Amino acid sequence: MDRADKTDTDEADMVNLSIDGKEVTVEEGTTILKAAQKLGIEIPTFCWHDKLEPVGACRMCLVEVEKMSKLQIACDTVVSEGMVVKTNTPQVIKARKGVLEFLLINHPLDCPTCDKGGECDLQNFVFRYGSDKSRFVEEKRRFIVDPKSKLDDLSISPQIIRNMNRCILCRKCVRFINQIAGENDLGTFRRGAKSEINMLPDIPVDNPYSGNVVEICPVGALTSQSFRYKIRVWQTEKVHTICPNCGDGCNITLWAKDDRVYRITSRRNDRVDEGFLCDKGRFGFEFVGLGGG
Amino acid sequence: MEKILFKYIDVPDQYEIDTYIKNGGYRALPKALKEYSPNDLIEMVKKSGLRGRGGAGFPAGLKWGFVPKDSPNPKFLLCNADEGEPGTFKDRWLIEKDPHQLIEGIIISSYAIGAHRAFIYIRGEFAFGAERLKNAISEAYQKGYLGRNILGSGFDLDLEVYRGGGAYICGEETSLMESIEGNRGNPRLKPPFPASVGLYKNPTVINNVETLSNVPHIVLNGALWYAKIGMPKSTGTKIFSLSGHVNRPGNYELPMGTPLRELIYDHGGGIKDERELKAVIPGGVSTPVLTSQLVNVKMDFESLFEAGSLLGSGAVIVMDETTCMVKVAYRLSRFYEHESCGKCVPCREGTRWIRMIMARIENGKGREEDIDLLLDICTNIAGKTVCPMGDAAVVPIMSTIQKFREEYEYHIKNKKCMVDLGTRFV
Repeated sequence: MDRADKTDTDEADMVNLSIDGKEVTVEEGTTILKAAQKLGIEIPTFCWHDKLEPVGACRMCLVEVEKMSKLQIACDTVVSEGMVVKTNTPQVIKARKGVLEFLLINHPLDCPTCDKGGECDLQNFVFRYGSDKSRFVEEKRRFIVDPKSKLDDLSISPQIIRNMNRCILCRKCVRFINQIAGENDLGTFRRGAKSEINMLPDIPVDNPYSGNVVEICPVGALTSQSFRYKIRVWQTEKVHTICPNCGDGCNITLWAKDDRVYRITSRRNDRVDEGFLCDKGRFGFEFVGLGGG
Repeated sequence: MEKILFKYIDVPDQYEIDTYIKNGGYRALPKALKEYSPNDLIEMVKKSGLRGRGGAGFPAGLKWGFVPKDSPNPKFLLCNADEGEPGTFKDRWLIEKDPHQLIEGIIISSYAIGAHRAFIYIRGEFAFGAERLKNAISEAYQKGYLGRNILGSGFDLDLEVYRGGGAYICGEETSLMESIEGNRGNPRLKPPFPASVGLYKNPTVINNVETLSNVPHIVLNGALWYAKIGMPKSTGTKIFSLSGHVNRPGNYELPMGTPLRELIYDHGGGIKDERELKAVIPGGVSTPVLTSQLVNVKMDFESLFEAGSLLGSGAVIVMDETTCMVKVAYRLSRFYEHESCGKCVPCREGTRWIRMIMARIENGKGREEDIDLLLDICTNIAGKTVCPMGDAAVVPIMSTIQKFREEYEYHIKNKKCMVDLGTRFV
């Protein structure tokens, strides 16, 4: 039985807590983040994905928990009876601002030419929680792919382009390939501020589910070759439909304009597709609109 | 006072098993296996007051007690020999000069927590020490101190040396476990704690080399004997790695609570060239710097905490009046940038930013607002990272600004050091 189908009267022990003064009752073992989502309280995250193991790497979801001296990550802190959580205190706001500042200091701020613009978590959270001034006067870090080129794009598969300068190292892509697709096509290389996401040396990502990393990338670090520079997301019309490629019937969204399809993304339905698509379904749309028999 | 861990440190072939046995070694092991139950040993170590010597000072017996007794899973003992804290070189001596003392401690400790597999995780740079340990372990196997049915007790233990790849972060216990498992040396989220979910998700105890080396002596001489040495809450001796501007740098084993003055002037032979003492980092570079006014502080966990610093690993770095504290902080900021694992945002990005600002100040390009900016970056890192490395990385910056702010201001204003560096750095 699906977890979501359980009713509150099932055998699981329930825990009462309050978040921002609102009381909520959730199953034992629930994280603060999930409990907040139940209340409709937004706690921003970059590295969290509910199908992946939490890593607590982005530190964006830090919240205040009464009786705990340090801020706690909402994505991996399990609730307890009587817990009092606050997501909007000066301390939490400062921590979020701090994380966003750290992420932006080396970010190229090339939103005008970035395909992720308009649907970028970093862009959105900076608008909502960040500062409009920079205190960083040093030279930005740049991951150079080709010393002769001004572009920092690296083709890591026939479908995917990587731009490491935009990457915030949430490692969702690496973890997806690892934990969901069950392969090791992507990895984290080097360490500290030099860490980078990359394919194995000279071995392009070759995985039937690789396109999902473009969709779960919270920034414009991984973009798809077929969608790049074609259109802005807000200029398209979204059409909800079902993938026709096989009997699985994954729920998908077509992003279209003037009868032309620009890309396909998942329209998550956990009973059908878990929110992930295969590359055939995601990238196999070029035939649409070509007519023929 | 009689030395405990360093009693035979100067015997040239103490690393050989026969010499070790001749000098009273492997006597605690049969006593532990025959006279005590595992639980007795845990209680004994609790009573002795032995605290972790790796830096945090967590009571060793308490740590052992956290291992679930009813767990059907295998248990592991890990010896943390990834001695990476700058200024610390005590474990290296214990490993290279008296490896059997450590091995005996590991066997007894494994018996106490019910582990049948133990690893010594040694930093990659200690190639010689790793070799010494491997030889010592094979000697111990030959004599029946390791392997099946140790000394007829029915207790089995296999011990292996695992060499790290040279990363500071792998001294952090969860990164250490990741490294042994073959993954990137990145810290895990806690909870769960290693005592319940550790190596390969099994109950695991991680102890420092010096901590484990103390165990045979506690078993032989009793908990009360040990508890009487040192201070009431910081018992036993501590090996201080003394370095910097002293006449006789080196490792000194002294009772906990020995005044810093005694360590520097009586044992270390005082400051080089009769210069004045300026500052001391008392427990490795992750502990706040002390000014010379605090030279009478007692070297134990409580006293140093009250003095606004920490005992840490016991690495005492002495700096004389010719030391520029801005240069010190800059050098340490480079260390932390280099060693950040890159997993979490504040440490990865913050340590690099701090180093860049420190480099500017050091090179005469500092701005007035840089000092407050540094402090604010530090508060955005401290307490907000996955592991304690973020907290450690800001310590040299925050503590030098707090105690030597005028040197920063002078550096920014005059584009040079406030102190006369003497002739050495010209």
